[in-house]
Amino acid sequence: MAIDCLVLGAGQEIGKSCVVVTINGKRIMFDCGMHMGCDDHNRYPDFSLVSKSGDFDNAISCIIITHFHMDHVGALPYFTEVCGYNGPIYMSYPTKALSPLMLEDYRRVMVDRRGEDELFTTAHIANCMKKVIAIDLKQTIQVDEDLQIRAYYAGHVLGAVMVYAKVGDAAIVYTGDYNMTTDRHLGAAKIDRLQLDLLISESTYATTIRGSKYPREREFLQAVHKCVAGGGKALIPSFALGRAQELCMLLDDYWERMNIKVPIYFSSGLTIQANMYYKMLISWTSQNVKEKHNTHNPFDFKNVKDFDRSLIHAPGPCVLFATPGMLCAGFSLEVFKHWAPSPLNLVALPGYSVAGTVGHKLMSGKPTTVDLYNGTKVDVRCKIHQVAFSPHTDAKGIMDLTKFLSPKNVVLVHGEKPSMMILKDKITSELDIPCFVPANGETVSVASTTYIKANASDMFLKSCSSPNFKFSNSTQLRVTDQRTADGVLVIEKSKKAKIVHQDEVSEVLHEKNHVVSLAYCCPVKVKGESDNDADLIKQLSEKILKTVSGAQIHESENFVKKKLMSSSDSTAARDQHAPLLRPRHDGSSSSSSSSSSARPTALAVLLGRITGHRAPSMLVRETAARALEERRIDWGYSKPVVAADILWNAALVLASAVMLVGTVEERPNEPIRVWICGYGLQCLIHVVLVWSEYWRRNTTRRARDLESGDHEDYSVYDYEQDSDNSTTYRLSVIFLAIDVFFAIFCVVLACLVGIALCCCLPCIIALLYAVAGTEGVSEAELGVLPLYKFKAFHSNEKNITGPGLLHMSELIRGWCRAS
Amino acid sequence: MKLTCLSKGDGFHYPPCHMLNLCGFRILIDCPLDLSAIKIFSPVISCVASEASKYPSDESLDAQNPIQKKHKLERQLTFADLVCEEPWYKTVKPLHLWDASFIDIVLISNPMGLLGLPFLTQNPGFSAKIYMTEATAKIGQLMMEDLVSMHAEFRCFHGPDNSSFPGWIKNLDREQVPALLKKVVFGESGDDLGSWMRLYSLDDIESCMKKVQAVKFAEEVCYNGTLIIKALSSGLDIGACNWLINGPNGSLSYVSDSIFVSHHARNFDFHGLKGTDVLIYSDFSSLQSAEVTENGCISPDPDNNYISTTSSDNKDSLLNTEDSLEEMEKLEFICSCAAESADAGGSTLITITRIGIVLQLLELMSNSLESSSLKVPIFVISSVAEELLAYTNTIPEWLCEQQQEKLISGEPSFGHLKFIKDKKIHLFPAIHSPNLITSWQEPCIIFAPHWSLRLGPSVQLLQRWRGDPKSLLVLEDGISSGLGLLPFRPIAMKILQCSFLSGIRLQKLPTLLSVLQPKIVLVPDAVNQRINFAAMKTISILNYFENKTLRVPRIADNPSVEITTDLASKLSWRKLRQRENFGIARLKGGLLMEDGKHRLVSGLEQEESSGKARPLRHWGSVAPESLLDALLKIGIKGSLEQSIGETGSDDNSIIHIANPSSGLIEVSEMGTAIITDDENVASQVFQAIDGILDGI
Repeated sequence: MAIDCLVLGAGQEIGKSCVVVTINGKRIMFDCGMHMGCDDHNRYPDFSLVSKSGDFDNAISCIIITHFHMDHVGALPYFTEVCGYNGPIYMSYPTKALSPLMLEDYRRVMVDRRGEDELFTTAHIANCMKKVIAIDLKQTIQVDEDLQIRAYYAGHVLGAVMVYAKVGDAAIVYTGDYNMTTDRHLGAAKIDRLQLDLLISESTYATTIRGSKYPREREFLQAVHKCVAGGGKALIPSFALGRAQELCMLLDDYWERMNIKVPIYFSSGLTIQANMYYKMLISWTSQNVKEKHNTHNPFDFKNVKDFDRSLIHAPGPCVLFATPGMLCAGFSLEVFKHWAPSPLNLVALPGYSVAGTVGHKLMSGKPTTVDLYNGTKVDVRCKIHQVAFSPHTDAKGIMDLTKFLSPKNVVLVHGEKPSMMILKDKITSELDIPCFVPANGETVSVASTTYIKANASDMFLKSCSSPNFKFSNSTQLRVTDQRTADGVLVIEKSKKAKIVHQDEVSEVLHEKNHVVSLAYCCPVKVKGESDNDADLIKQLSEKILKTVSGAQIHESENFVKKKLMSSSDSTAARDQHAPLLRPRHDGSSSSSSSSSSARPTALAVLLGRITGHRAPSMLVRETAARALEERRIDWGYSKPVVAADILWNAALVLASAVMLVGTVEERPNEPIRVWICGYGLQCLIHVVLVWSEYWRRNTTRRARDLESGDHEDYSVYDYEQDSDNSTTYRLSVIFLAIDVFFAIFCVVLACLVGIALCCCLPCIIALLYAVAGTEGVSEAELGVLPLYKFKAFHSNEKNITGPGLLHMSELIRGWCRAS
Repeated sequence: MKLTCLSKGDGFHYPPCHMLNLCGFRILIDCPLDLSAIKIFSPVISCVASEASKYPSDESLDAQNPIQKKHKLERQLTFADLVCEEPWYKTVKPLHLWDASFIDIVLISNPMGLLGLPFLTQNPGFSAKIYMTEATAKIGQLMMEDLVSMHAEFRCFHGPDNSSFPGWIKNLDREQVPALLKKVVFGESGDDLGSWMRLYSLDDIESCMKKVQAVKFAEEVCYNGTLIIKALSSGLDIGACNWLINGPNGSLSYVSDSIFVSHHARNFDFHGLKGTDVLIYSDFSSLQSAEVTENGCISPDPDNNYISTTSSDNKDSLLNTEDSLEEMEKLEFICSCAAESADAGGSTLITITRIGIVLQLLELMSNSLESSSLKVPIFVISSVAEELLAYTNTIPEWLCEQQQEKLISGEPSFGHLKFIKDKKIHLFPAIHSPNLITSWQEPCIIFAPHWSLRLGPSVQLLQRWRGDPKSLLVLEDGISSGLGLLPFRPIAMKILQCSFLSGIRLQKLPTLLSVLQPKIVLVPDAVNQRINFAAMKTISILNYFENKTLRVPRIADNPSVEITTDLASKLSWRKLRQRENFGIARLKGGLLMEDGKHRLVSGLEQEESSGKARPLRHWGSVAPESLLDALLKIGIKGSLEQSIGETGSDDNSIIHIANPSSGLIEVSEMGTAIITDDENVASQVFQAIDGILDGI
C-alpha cells in the first residue's frame, strides 16, 4: 500500500495550487486553482495527467477546496463545467459562500476590463457551486466507505481549512495556506495531534521568520495617517475579501481613536457585500472578535462608505480600498493611473504580488514610470508603502506544525524553489523526516501505514489491563511490565488471526498442556550427628516451605547424600545472582517431583498459582526493608563516620588537657578542674569504646562475607543468620529509639526555652510597662530633666532674628510642657 | 452495557433522562428540569389574589378535563391553594440516588436537557466530561440565564429565604391540600420530595458552562481513548442532536426526539446512525400526543415490508414533507389568528419559547403584517432576546438547507434582522424597560416567556389582557388544563393552544428501524405496547422501563487488535510440528487504547533480554523412546524404566541418566520433570525435550 502525491500545480512555484493524492487507491484532488500571473494555457493545472481519457468522475473520488483564493479555486468551474467532472466537491461554509463572489469578480475583471475570452461563464460558476457540499470544522465526513475527510481551522482567510484525509489506516494532511499566529480578525491554525503518513504543507515563507505584527501595523497606520493629513489620497489595492476586512478593521479602529473624519471608501459593492458574509460567519473568526460580537459586530464599520467613480477626481483626502489586489487589472489599476502622478498620494500594497503584475513592479524597486498592460506609461511619483502583513505562516510556523504533527513524510508545495530547498534540508536534518519538493507534474510515492488486525480474546485483554510487573536486577533493579508477552498470536490458514492468552493456546490448538519442569539438587552441609539427619531435613523443609511459597521439597533415596531439592524453573536456575528475588522464581511456577513422591505435579502447579500470587511481592518488600536497615546500621559504623567521631573526641580531650596545663596558677572558686578532668575522661572512654565496637564489627563482617562467599547456595544458612541478626537488630532499635527520644526531648526543651525568651519576655516586659506606666511621667522625673529657654539677640532697631541662645531656666517649666 | 431510564420525561420541555453504563464508563444522557411542576406556585401578581377569590371559578373550568372533574367531587381547587412562596424547581428524582462523582460522561442532546445540569455540577465531586453541541451550549446558557433573571422577580417579591428546607412543603402535607398539588409535589409514590431544589445562580451557570466541551455536528471526540462520541443532528431544534458512540465492544446509537424534515434546524441525520449494534430509542413524544389511535396499536404498513429492500424508497417515505407542511400550516394559522385579533383591536400574547418556532413565527408574522398593511408592532420581551436573535443569524452551519442557501445568496438566515432595523420588531430585556413604555402601542403582538405562565413578563401581560375578549393568548399544548391558567381565571381572552411536532411519529418507527438496521433495539415498554414489531424479524427488540436497569448482552465479536506492520515483522514465528496449518508467535510491545481501538505498538527494546526468561509453554506428549534417541544424539546416555504410578493406571516412565552426570527424567502424560544437579545436563535435556514438543 502506498500514497502517491501528484503535484499538478504550485510545485516549486506559487499559484494554481492543485495536488492529487492517491491513498490506497482513492484519489483526492486538493485545491483546483489558477495561476494569476500567466495568461496562456499554463494558467490551469494540467488535468490530463490525472486521466488521459478525460473520465474524471472515475479517476477522482472527490475534490476538496481549502479556501476561496483564486490560486486555490480558480480552475474549479473550468474543471467541472468544461472538463466535465461531476463528483463531489467539498468546501467549508465560508468558502462555499464566498468563492462564487471571487470567481465572478475575477471573470468580470478578465472579460469586461481586459477584453479577454471568457474562460467560464456566470452560469458555469453557478452550476459548479451546486455540486459543492459544505462542511464544518472538525466534522468527520465519510465520502465513501473507506475515505474519511475532516477539516481543521487554518486561519489564512475566512473559512480556510486544513484537510485531513484517511483511507483505511493511511492518513494525510493537506494544509492549504495557513497562518500560525492570531490575526486581527482570524485565529491561528488549530489541528489535533494526528498520526500521519504524509503532510503536504505550503511554504510561501520558507526561510523568513517574522516578528510581532504590531510595529508593522503601526507603520501602516502612520503612513496612511500622514498621507491623509497632508491632503493626499491613499489607495489600497486589495482583493475584496480577507485583507480588505483586516485593514479596514484596523483603520476603523484607528479613525475612532484619533477622531479622524477622512472618509474610507470601498470601491465596489462587492466588498460591502463581503462584509455581510463576514457578519454572518462570525463563528469562523478569531476568539477575540467572537467575544466582542455579543455587543457590537466588529464588521459593522462606522466610517466606511461606498465609492463612486466620480470621486476619483474629487478634491480632498480619502482612503480607498480598490479591487483587485496586486494592481493587475480593473478598477484599482484605473485609480492608480490617476493618482500615481501626485507626490501627495500613497499606494499601500498589502500582501504578496505575483510576478508580472504592476504591484510586483512597484514592490520590487522604486520605479519612476510603470508600463501598463495596454502600452501606456504612468509616472509614479506617489509614495509606496508595502504592508508586510501576510496571512501565511513563516518558516518557524511550518517547522512548528511539522514537529507537532511529526508525519512520516513531508511534501512542500506553494513556495519558491530556492527557499523551499533550504527548508527541505532543515526538515530533513532537524526533524529527521524525509521531505520532498516535487515540481509540477512530478509524483512522490511514500509508503502508507497498514495494521494487521487480529481478534483478541477476553482473557488476553483482561490480563493486559492489569499491571504485571516483573523485577530483575542484573546490574541494578529493573522493573518491566510486559503484559503483552503473555499473548500469543495464532494464525490458522484461511482464518482470521487470533490473539489469545498463553494459557488458552492449548485450547485453541486442541492439544493438552505438557509441563516441563526442572528440579534442582543442592547439597546441604549439616554439622551434627547423623542420627537426627531426618529430623534436621524435616526442619529444613518446613522452614523452606514456610518462606518459599509454592515450593515442593522431598527427599530422594536415590542419592548417596541427603539432598534438598529446591524446585526451580530452568530459567530461574540460571538467574541465581538475585538473592533478593530468588524466592519469587521458586514461587512463580512449576514444581519438582521425583520417584518417591507421588504428589501430582499438576496440583502443585495449581497450588503454586494460588499461593504464589501475592507472596512474592511481600517477600521482596520484606527483604528489601531488611537489607536497607542493615545497610543503615553499617553506615553508622562506616570508616569516615567513626574516624570523625574519634577525631572530634580526641580533640576535646586534647583541649581539656591543654587547658588544665595552661591554668595551673589559677585558683578558681569552683572545682572546675575536676569537672574538666571528668569530661576529658568521658571523651577518652567514648573513643575507646567506639574503636572497639568498630573493630569488632569489621571482623565479624569480614568473617560473614567470607562465609557467604563460600556457601552462596546454602539458603538455609542465610536464613539462620538472619534470625540471629534479628535479636541484635532489635536491641539496636531500642537503643536508637531511646537516642531519638532524648534528642527530640532536648530539642523540644531548647525550643521551649528559646520561645519563652524570644516571644514571652518582650510580652511580659510590655505587660509590665502597660501596668506600671499608665500615668505617664511623674512630676519628680520631669524635674530632673534640663530645661531650656529660647532667647534671640536683637541687633539695633531691626527685629531680625539672629542666632539665639538657649538659657537654662527653672522658671518656665509649665510653658515648656505645654509646647 | 446497562441502561437505566431515570425519567421518561414529558414532552418537548422535559426530555427523557437516561443513565448508561458502557465499557465501564457511566454516561448520563440529558439532565432536564421539570418546569411544568412550578405551576403549583402562584405567580407574582399583587392584585389577582383578591380578584380571583371573588369569583367562583368553577364556571370557567374546562368541563372536559377529567382530572379536574375528579377534583370537583373532592374539593374545588382555587387560586389560594397555590403556593405563594419563592418557587423551587423539580429535577429528575432518581438522579439524586446516583453519586455524581461516579459519572464519567454527560451527553446533552438539546438545550432543554441542559437546564438541570448546574444542579449536578454544583456537586463538589462532579468530574465528568460534558459534551454538547456548540449551539446547544449557547442557547441553553441563554435559556438558563433567562430563567435566573425571571426567577429574580420572585426573589424580590418574597424576599431572601435562606432556609435549606422549604416551609411550603410542610404546609402542603396537610389533609385539606388538593390531591393534584400533592401529586405534583410528592410524586405518584410520594417520594419525590428530594428532587425539589432551589434555583441555581448565574455563577453556577458560568461554572457549569466552563466544564462543557462543545462539539460540532459529526465531530468525533474521543473519551479516554476508548469511546468515540459523535453528535448527529436530530432536527428537533437548533443544535439538538442524537448520539453515536463507538467503543471497542461495538457501537451504540441514541435516538432522542427527532424530526425528519425541519424548517429551521438541520434535518434528522439518520444516515450516520445506520448499522449500529445497539439502538436506544428514546423518543417518548408519540406517547404524549393525542394521535395514538383508539385501539392503541399501530401495525406497520404492509407496504413497508417490501419497501425495505429498496432503501431509497424508504428514505423518501421518511423524508416526506407532509409533517413539516402541517407544521407550517399551524404557524400560518397562528399568524392569521393574530392578524385577525389585531384587526379587531385586540393584542396577541405568544408564550411559546421554542426557539425554532419563535424564529419562524417572527418571520412569518412580520411578513404577513407587512403584506396586510396592518400597523401592529411586534414586541419581544426577554432578557436574552437581543443576544439570542443576533446569535441565530451567525450560525448558518446549524440550520436547515433552505437557510444555508440564504447564506450562499448573501441574505441573513432569519428575516428578523431586517425588521428589527426597520423598527417593526422591538426587543426589550424586561417589561419595565423604559423604552418599552415609550414605544408601547396597543394592539400589539408580544412574544414573552415563560410558557409555564408563572415566570417572566407573560404573567403581567396576561393579567392585563385576560378580561379582554378581543385579545388572543397563544399557548403551548397542555398548559391550559389543570393548574396552568388557574391564577388568571376567569379569562375572557381567546385562547389558542397549539401542539407542535416534537418527535418521530409512531408510524414511522418501523420504517426508520428497517433503514437503520441495528442489531438490538431498546424501546420504552409503552412504545412497544402500541406498535407491532412482529414484522421486524431480523432485529431483536428489548423493552426498558423507567427506573429499571436493563442489561444488554454484548453482541459484537471479540474486539480486534491492530498490530503495526513493523512490529509484526519482528515477531518470531513458529510453525507447529504437529499441526501444519497453524503459525503461532508470542507477542511483543505494548497494548494501547487509541481512538477506540486496541493497538499493539513496539515498546521499549530493553524487554529483549528478559524476554527469553519467560516460562515456556509446551503441549503435546513426549514418547520416552524418542526422547532417549534425542538424548543419545547429544551424547547423553540413559536407560528407560517403566513405573506404575500410585493409582496404577498412570504410566510414568523414568529415564535414568548416568553420563556425564547422574540424574533422572520423569516422563508422564501431564509433564516431564528433569532432576539433576548439573545445570549443563539439565539444559541439554531441556533442549532435547523442546525439540520434541511444540511450545511457545
